[in-house]
Amino acid sequence: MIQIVCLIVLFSLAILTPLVARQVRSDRQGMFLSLVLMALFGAFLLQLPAVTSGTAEQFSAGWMPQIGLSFSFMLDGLSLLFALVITGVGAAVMLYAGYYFDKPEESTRFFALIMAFTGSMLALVMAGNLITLFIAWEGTSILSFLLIGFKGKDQEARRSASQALMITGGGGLALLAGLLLLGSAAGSYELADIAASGEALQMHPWIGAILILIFIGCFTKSAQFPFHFWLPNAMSAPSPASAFLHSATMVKAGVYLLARLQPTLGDLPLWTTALPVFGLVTLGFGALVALRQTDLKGMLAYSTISQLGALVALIGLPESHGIKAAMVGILAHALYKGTLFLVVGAVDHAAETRDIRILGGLRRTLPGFAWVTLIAGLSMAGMPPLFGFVSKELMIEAVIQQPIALAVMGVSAALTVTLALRLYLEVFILPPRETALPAHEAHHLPRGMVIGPGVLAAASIVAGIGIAPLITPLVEPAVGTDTRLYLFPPEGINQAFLMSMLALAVGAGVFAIRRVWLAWRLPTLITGPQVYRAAVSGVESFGDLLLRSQNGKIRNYLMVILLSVLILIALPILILDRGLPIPPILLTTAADVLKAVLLILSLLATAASILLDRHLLAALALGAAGYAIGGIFLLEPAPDVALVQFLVETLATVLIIVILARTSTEERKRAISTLWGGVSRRGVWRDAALSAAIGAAVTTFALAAVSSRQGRTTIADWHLANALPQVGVNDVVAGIITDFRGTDTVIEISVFGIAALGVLTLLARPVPGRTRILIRRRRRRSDTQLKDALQEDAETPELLLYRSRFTNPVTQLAASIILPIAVLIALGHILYAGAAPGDGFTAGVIIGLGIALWFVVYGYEDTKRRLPWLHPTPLIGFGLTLALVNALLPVLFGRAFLAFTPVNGIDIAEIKIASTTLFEIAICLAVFGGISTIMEAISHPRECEPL
Amino acid sequence: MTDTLLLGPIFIPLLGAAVGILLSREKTIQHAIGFAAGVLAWLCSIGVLAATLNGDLLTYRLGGWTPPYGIVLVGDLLSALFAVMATTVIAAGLLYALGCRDQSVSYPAFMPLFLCMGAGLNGALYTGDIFTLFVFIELMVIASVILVAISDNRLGLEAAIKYLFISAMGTLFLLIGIASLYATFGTLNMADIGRLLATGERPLLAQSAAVMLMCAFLLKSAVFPFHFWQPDFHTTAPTPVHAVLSSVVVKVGVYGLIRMMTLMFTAEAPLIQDLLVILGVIGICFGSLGALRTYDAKRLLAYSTFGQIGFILVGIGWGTAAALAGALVYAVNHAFIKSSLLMITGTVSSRKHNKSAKIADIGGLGKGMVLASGLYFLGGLSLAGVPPLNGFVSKVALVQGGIGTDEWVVFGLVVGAGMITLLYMTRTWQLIFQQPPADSLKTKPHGDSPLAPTLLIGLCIALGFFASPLLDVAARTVAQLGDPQVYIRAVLGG
Amino acid sequence: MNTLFALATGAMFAMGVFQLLRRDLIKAAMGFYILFTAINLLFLAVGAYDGVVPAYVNSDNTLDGQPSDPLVQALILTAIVISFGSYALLLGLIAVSSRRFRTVDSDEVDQLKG
Repeated sequence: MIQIVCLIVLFSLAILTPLVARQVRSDRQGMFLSLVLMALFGAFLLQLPAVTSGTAEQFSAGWMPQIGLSFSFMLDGLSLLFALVITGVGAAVMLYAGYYFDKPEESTRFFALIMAFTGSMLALVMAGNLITLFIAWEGTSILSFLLIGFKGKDQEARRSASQALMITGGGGLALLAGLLLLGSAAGSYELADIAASGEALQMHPWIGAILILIFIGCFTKSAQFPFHFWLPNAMSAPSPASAFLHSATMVKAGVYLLARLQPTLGDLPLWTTALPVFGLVTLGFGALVALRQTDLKGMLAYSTISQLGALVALIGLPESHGIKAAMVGILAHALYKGTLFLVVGAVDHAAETRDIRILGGLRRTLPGFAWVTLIAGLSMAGMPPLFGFVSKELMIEAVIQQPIALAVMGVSAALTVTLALRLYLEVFILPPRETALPAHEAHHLPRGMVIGPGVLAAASIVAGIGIAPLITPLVEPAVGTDTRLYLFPPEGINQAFLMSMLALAVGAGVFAIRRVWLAWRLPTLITGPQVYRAAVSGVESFGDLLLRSQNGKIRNYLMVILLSVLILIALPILILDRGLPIPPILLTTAADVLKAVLLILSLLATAASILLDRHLLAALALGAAGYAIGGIFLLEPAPDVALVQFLVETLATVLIIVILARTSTEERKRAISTLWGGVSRRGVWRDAALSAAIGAAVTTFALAAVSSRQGRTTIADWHLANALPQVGVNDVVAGIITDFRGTDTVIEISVFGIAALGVLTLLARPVPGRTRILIRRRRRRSDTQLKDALQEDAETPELLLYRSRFTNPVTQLAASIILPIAVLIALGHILYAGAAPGDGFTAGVIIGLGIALWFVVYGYEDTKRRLPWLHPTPLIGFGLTLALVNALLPVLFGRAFLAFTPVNGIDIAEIKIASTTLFEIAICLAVFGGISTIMEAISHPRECEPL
Repeated sequence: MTDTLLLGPIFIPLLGAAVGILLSREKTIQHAIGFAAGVLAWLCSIGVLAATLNGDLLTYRLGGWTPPYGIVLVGDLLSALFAVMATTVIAAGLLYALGCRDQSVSYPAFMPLFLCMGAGLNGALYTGDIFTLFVFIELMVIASVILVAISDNRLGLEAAIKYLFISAMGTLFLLIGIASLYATFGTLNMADIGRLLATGERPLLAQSAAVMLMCAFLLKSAVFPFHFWQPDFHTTAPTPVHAVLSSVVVKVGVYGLIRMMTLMFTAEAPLIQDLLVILGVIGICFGSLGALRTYDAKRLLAYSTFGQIGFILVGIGWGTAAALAGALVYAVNHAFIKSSLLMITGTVSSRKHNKSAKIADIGGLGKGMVLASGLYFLGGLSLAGVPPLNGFVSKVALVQGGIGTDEWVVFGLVVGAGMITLLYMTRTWQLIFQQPPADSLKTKPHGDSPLAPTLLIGLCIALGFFASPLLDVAARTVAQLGDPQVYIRAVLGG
Repeated sequence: MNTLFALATGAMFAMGVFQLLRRDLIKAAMGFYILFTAINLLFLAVGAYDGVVPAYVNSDNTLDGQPSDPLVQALILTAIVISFGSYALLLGLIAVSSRRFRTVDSDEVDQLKG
C-alpha cells in the first residue's frame, strides 16, 4: 500500500506546488517538501522488518492486460534500499534547494519537476512489472531533460538537455526492445515470474540479444563509457538537481536494473564478461579525467561516472561476489557525492564561479561548508572511520582475486583521494592560484543552506562508525544472503586494508606533485561526443539528400508515380498477356463501321489537340474528339450518355475558351514555347515512351476486360428486369441513376456543386492588396462604385471580357430566344426523364448553357442587370437541400433512404409523377446553379461578388 | 433500427453543407449549424461503434434495394472504429474553426466545404459498394482541394493544383480497378466481389485489379512513391483543415488497403503485405529524416505523418493478428496526436501576421504561452511514443506484434525510429517555447482558441492511461476481419 | 470490334498521359480531360454485352433485342459529371494561379520544395 500512497502524494504535490505555492517563500516550500520526504523515509524504514521477513505486501492491479502491462508494485530489500536513498537524500536536497533559488516562481517550477521526478524514481525501483518499470524509467529521462534545460533561455543548457535525452532516450528504446523480448521470452512481464523462470531464460535463443539491448539501456542511463559524455554536460542543471538526479538517484537506475536482473541472468558468460569490462574501463577513465577538470561540477561528474563504473563492474562479478560491495557503495556514494554537489552549488552561489583555478581560500566566507566538504571529501577518499572507507574496503575485497580489476580499483582509488584533496584544499584552504577573485569578495549565504549537506555529511560519519548495527540490516535483505559488515577487519590487518592505506598515501603523493601533471598535454582520443556528433550530422545530410527529391516540379512527381505504377502492374499484366484471347477485328454491321470511323476520328482529333500549339485550336480539337466519343455512345447504343456527353463537351469547350480569354497571352505564349522540350528533345521522347508504355498496359486491360466479360451474369440483368415494375420507368439507365444507385447521384451533384462553389470562391477570393477594396465595395452591391473600382485598373486585360466583345444585336437576340427554349426543353427532360433520354442533369446543363450564352454575349455586368432573378449559389444550396430532404424524408416515415414513392392519380400526357420527379428537379437546380455560378465567376473581370 | 445510424455521419454533414450554402450570408448561423452537424455525426458514429461491438454488423440498404443490386452501407468494426476516429477529429476541427481567425475560415464556402470533406470521408468508410467508394472519395478530394486553394497561405493554390493532378492519377487507378472488377464479376458490391473471389480459381483480371486498387489507396495515404503531394498539400492548408487532412483523411487509403486485403483479395494479401513492409520502412526513414531536416513547424509534422503511416503499413504488412491490431491502435492514436499537435502549432503561428510556421518566424513566439507549451510538449512526447501517453501504447502494441515475425531489421528500425521523432519534437519545442524570442518578433495579441487541442490532448492522455478499451476493440476488429464470410453474410444475407 | 475498342482506349490513354506531362498547365489540363474520356471508353468496353438496342424496356417490360448494359451507362454518367466538375475546378485554379504567380508554366510553379 505504501507504494501507492507515496506515488499519489508525490505526483499530487508535483501538480499542486505550482498552483498553490506561488506566494510562499521558496525556503518555506523547501522545508515543507523535505518534511514530506522525511516522513516517507520514515514510512519506508518502518517497512524494514516486513521486508526482511519477506512479508512486505505487494500491490498489483490490472492495467492493460492486452500488452502485458499491469499496475503492480513490490517492495523487497533492493527496492527498499533505493527507496531510502531516494527519500533520504531527497529530503536534504529539498531543504537546500529552498535556499538555492531566489525567485519563488523558479523554485515552484523546480519543486514541481523534482517531485514528479521523485515519484517516477520511486515507481522505477518499486515496479513489479517490466513495462511499468519502463514507464517510470522514461519518466525519469524526460524530467531529467526538463531539469537540465531548466534555464531554457541559455542555448548551452538546451543543447545539453536534448543531448542527454537523446542518449538516455535512445538507450531507453533499446531497453524497451530488450524488455519486450524478455517478457515474451519469459511469457510474462511480471518481474516475479521472470525471476522464477531463470533457467528457461538462460537457455532461450534470444537471450544474447536481450542482454545486449538491456545493457545498452543501463549503460546509457548510468553513464558508462562510451555513453558517459551526456552526464558532464548535464551539469547545466541547477545544483540541487545535479546532486539528486545526476549523482544520487537517476544515474543509479541502470545499476538498479542490473542488480535486479543479476540473480536471474547473472551466471551468463556474457553478463560476467561485458559488465566488468565496461565497468572497469569507465572506472579508470572517469577517475583519470576527473582530475584534469577545471569546473568543480565537471570533476564531480567524472568521479560519479567512475563510481558508477565500479558499481557496474561489481554487479558483473561471477557468483555475485560484488553485490554486497555494490549495495554499500550505492549508499556511501549517494551520501558523500550528494553532499559535495550541494557544496559546489553553494560555492557557485557565493563566488559566482565554479572554476577551480580561480577559487581559493573560501573557508573564511563559508566555514560551515568547509567542514562539510572535509568530511564528505574524506569519506570519498576512503578515510576511516567514514562510510566511504567501508565501501572502498569492500570493493577491493571483492576483486582481490582478479589482478587486473584489483589494479584498476587501486589506481582509481588513489586518484579519487587526489580529487578529494583538490576539492577541499584548493577551494577552501589554499589561496587561489590565479588571483582573480579575492576570497572576501564572495558574499555570505543564508545559514539554512548548510543544513542539508551537513546532515548528509554527518550521515557519512554515523554510518561509518555504526556500520554493523545500522547498515547491515539495510543491506542484508538487498543482498539476499546473510551479510557481515564491519569498520575494521576483525581478523586484523588484511590485504584490502593495506591496499586502501596505500591508495591514500599514493593519492596524497599525486596531489603533492599536481603542478607537474596539470601541465601535461594529454592526447585527445576519439570518444563518445565526436561519434555522437558525427552520427547526427551523417543522419542529417542523408535527410537533406532525401528532401532534395521534393523538387517542386509537378511533372517529375507525375512521372515517378506513373512509372512506379507501371512497375507494379508489370507482373500481373504479363500474367494477363498469356491466356488472353484476342478477338479479331470484325466490322459486321454498319453501326460497327461507323463506330470504327468515329473512334479513329476522335483519336485523330485528340492527336490534333496535342500537336496544335495554339490553345484555342487545341481546345476546339478536343471538343471535336469529345463529340466523336458522343457519337460512339450514341451508336453503342447509349442515348442518355451520348446526350450528356454532347452537352458536357459543349460546356467544357465554352469553359476553356473563356478561361483562355482570362489568362494573359504572353504567359501562355511562354508556356507554349516549352511544349516541345525547349532546348533538348530528350524530355519529349521520354514522355512519349512512358505514355506508350501506359497505353500498352491499358490496352491489355481493355482487351482482358472485353474478353473476360463474355458470357457472365451481371447485376445489370436485374436492373433491366426490375426498372419498370419496381420504379416504373422505361429508361433503365434513368432508373439506375435516380433509384437503384440514386445515392451516387446525390453525392455526384454535391461534388459538382462544391466544385462550382470552389471556382467562385477562388476567383472571388480577395488577393492581398488593392482588390480588397473592390470586394468591400461590391458588398454594397453598387454598380457605379464597382465601375469606379474597375476604372482604377482599367489596363488589366480582363477588362476586355468584362464588356463582352461578342455583344451585337444578333447575338443578343439569339441569347434572349435560346434561354426560354432551353428552359422548355429542360422541363421536358425532367418530366419525361423515365421515358426518354435526358434527365434532371441534362436539363440543368441545357439551362446552364443558355445562361452561359448570356454571359458570353452580354458580359458580366449586363447579364447581372438583365437577369436580376439569377442568384446562382443559393440555387446550388437549394438544389442540394431539396435532394437530401427528398432522400431523407422517407427515413422519417420509417422507410428507406431515397425510397421510391410514386404519386398515383395524376395521368396527363403519360407524365409519371414520383419522388424521383422531385429528385430530378433538385438535380436540375443544383447543376444549373453550379454551371451559372462557374460562368458568373469566370466571366467576371477580377473577382465576382462573394456569395 | 440502429442500422439507420449509418446515415448520420454521412448525410447530416452533407445536409449541413447544403443548408450552409443556402445561408451563406449568415456566417454565425452557418457555423453553428456546421458545428452541430459535426457533433451529431460524431454521436452517430459512436452509436454505430457501440452497436457493432458485440460482433454483429450494421447494414443499410440505400433506396431499400437488396444488395448487390443497390448500394449498401456497412458498419463493421473496422469501418466503425475508423469512422469514430474520423468524426472525432472532424468535430474537433470544426470547434477549432469556430475560434480560428484565418481569413479563409471566414469565407462563406468554408463551412460547407469542410462538412463535405467530412461527409465524403465517412461515406468512404461506410460504403459497401466500390463505385460509391470512388464517388465519396471524390467528394472528399474536391472539397479538400478547394479548402487548400483558398488558404491564407498564398502557396496553397500551388499545392492544390499539384494535388488535383496527382489525385486524378489515383482516381484513374481506382476507376480502372473498378472497371476490371465489373468486367470480371459483373458486380460492384464489395461483399459480392469477395464472395465470387473466394470461389475457386483466379479470374483473368483479379491481380491487375488488386494492384490498381492498391496503387489508388497508397496514393490516397501518400505512401512512397506516391507521397510527393502530401507535404505541400497538408502544410499550406488552413489549420483546421490541415488537422483533419494530416490525421484522418490520409487514413482512408489505409482503410481501403485493409478492406481489400481482408475482404476481397485474401489470396493476393501475402504479396501485398511484403510490399507494404518495404514501403512502410521507406516511409519511416523518409518521413523521420525529412521531419528532422525541416525547419517549419507544420511541414515537419506533415513529414512525420509520412513516417507514421509507414509504421501503420509495417504493422499491416507483418500480418499477424497482434501486428494488425497494433496498426489499428496506432492509426487511431496517431490521428488524435497529430491533429492536436497541428492545432497547437496553428494557435502559435496564428499570432504571427503572415501565419507562417517557419521556425525562423515563430522561434520563441511561444514563450509565455504556458498552456500551448505544455500541450505541445505532451503531444510531442506522445508522438515519439513516450509513456504514459497513448503514443506509447500504440508503439508497444505494434512492436509486440512484430516480435513473432523474424524481420529483426524492420523490428529494430520501428523501435529505433522513435529516437528521431523524440529528437525533432523536443528540438522544435525548445525552439518555439523555450528560446528567447528575437527582438524583431512582432505578434498579434490574440491567436486562435486553444480549446480544441486541449480537449484532444486530454483524449490522448486518457487513451494513454485507459487504453484497454481501444486495445480491446482493435483485437475484436482483427478477429472479425479474420473471417470475411461474416461480412459477406451480413451484407448478402444467407 | 472490341479489339479495336481496346486499342483505341489504350491510344487515348497514351495521348492523355503525354499531354498531361507537358509543362504548359493548360495543355496538362487538357490531358487530364482526355484521360477521363478514355476511362469512359474503358467503362463502355467492360459493359456486360454488345447491345443492339438502347436499354429501354417496352411498357410490357419486354426488350426488343439485346440492350446495351445500362449499369455501365449509369456509371459513365456519374464519372462524366465528376470529371467535368474536377476539370472546371482545375481550370479555375489555373486561371487564379496565372494571376497570382504570373505564369502557366508548371516548372515555374515550384515554390513548394524541400
